[in-house]
Amino acid sequence: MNIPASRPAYPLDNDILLQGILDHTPAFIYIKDLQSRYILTSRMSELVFNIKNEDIQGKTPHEVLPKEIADIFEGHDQVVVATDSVQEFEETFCRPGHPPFTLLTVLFPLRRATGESYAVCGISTDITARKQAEFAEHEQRTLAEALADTAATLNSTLDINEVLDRILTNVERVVPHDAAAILLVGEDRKTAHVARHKKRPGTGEVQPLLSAQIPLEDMHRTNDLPLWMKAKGMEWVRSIAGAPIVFDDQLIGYIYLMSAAPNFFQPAQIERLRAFANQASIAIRNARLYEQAQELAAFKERQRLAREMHDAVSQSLFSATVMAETLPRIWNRSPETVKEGLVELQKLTRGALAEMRNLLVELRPKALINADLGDLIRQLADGLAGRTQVVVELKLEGRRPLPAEVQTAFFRIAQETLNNIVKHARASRVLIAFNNQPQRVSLFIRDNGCGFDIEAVPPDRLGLKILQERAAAIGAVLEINSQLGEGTTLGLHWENPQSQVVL
Amino acid sequence: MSPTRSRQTIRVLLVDDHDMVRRGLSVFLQAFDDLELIGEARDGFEALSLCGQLKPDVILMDMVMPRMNGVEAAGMITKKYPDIRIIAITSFEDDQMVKAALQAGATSYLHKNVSIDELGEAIRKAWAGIPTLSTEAAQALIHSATTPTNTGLTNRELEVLHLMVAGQNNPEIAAALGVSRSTIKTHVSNILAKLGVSSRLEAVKFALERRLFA
Repeated sequence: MNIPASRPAYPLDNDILLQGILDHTPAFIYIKDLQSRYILTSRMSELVFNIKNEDIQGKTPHEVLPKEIADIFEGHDQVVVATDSVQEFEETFCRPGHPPFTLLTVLFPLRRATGESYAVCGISTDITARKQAEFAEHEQRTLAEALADTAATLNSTLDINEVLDRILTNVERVVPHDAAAILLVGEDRKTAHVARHKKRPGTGEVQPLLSAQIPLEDMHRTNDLPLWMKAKGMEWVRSIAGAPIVFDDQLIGYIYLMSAAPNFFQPAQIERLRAFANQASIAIRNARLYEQAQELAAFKERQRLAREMHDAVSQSLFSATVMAETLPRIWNRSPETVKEGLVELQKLTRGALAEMRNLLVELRPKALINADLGDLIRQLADGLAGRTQVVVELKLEGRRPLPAEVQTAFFRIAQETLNNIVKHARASRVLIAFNNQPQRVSLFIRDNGCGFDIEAVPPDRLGLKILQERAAAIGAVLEINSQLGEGTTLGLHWENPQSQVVL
Repeated sequence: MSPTRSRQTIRVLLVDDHDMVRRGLSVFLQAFDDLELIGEARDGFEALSLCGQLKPDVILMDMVMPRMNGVEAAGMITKKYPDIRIIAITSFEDDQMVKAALQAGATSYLHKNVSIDELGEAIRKAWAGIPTLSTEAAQALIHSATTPTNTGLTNRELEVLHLMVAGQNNPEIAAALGVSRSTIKTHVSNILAKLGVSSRLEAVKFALERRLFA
């Protein structure tokens, strides 16, 4: 369409023209006088505020609109009047019972030919849909980031508490709340307890919940406040959101969020909480599988040791019985054999007794910590002498209690070394020297067996790696020297850090 | 070859990884004029090579040994030297091992609680081709013949238990057996009920202790 350069010949009614334009524009346009009274409004006011045009004109926002909205409008009008300049505002209106909406508003003063302003004109565009999309995108991104962060923690640690704490931190980024707790169902499957908790500084306490045994049937009530949430000291909680933690179709816990505001949590937020509950389920599952695997490995190890020792005792006793039965019958025929036999019989029974005590140490780990380490090493030496033909020389010096982990490491290293000698060394003599001094504890074991080429034996063979790890764990130095045909020596030295502090 | 069996002394080879047991048994052989110690070996390998050199009449052999165990050694020795009689002697209570040793060709199966007179008699009988079973070994044979698993578990439940022992969880077992998780859940609770235990871990312990899948 061509617009003529000159004014058309027919007359225009300015007011009708203006109202016509206003009524057919998708924006909400209004003109107010300097006292914020509406002079002209577009029909959009009917759509936005549900008020007829004629009901608005001549009135201020406070006279026709809810106070929350009117405050914003009049506030912005005053800014324009005071600054006498063009302003742009994002005006977001939240009213209980209504969906929030946002207007992008340009406000500018209308001026007379003299330059003084006589009215304010506003052009508002409804950008609610765009804002919602932005908000939803932001929320989704935050949720995805929070879940990814938890997942990373899940993969990097088996410490269940670390993962649960991280879950609580990440929930905070996605669903605001005043306090949060993760409850786990107990072994009895009738009650639950708070496993981890977190609260915002300055908000209500969760302390009263920490020692509580919460009945299971009460956990599911998340619509109204469950009874346990009404515990003394928890009165500040006005609303909660909960998501069950389920594993193998079984309820194993709950994540709860608490707020001091009533009806605070939205259904969409509870939905998000479920994603974290699922992660908690994986964390707990991993941790429990790990624990089970540990327990199972320890159980298998104990069973193996017990079997080996029981076997050793049975063998010794069988041999002793056979000898005891045989010796009287050859008394007259070969007195020399009988004499030797009696010495061996004694060694056998003493060895069996020592093996029984060693077995007891395996079955009752406390015995390992409470006994004197020298006595335990004598027990190991007696066991070795009793079940083999090896001549064992034992030198013990010093008696004093040691830290449990040091005692355990020395005992296990001695035990493993003697087992290695029996299994691999084919030695006829073994020297065991143990010296327990206040500053320094050392163990020395030397055999005259076949030895081995240290370079050629992979460290994980012969349990050498485990020996080194045990030594390293208590800060001790372990040295193993061996050559083919030359026997093997082991030295284990631990410096007592306590004694150095005293010096 | 029966004429050689009328010889006066029975030549015995001792095979045991425990020094003390060999020592005790060597003393024991001195008490009987008709039994002669001709050699000692500490595992199945040594026994096998000594058989060629020494040609023993009877081998008194432990079952659980490093390198080559008694069952394997018995199988190889009886195949290569059918005239040599083997007496298995062990301290273990293991149903399966009794069966395996006899199947491998051992003539007799004794436990390490046998008296020296019984042991002497068992060696003479074995030499004559007559088996001797300790009471425990006989019970073990009857036990393994009458109650294969003694747990009352179905084959499917045994399969599930086996996977539990391998450390798999319900979804993994379901995937491995191609059935639904709820089916596995039912199996697991049936297994727990039949074994009389209250947790998965206990069921796994049970299976390990009874060596159900050893």
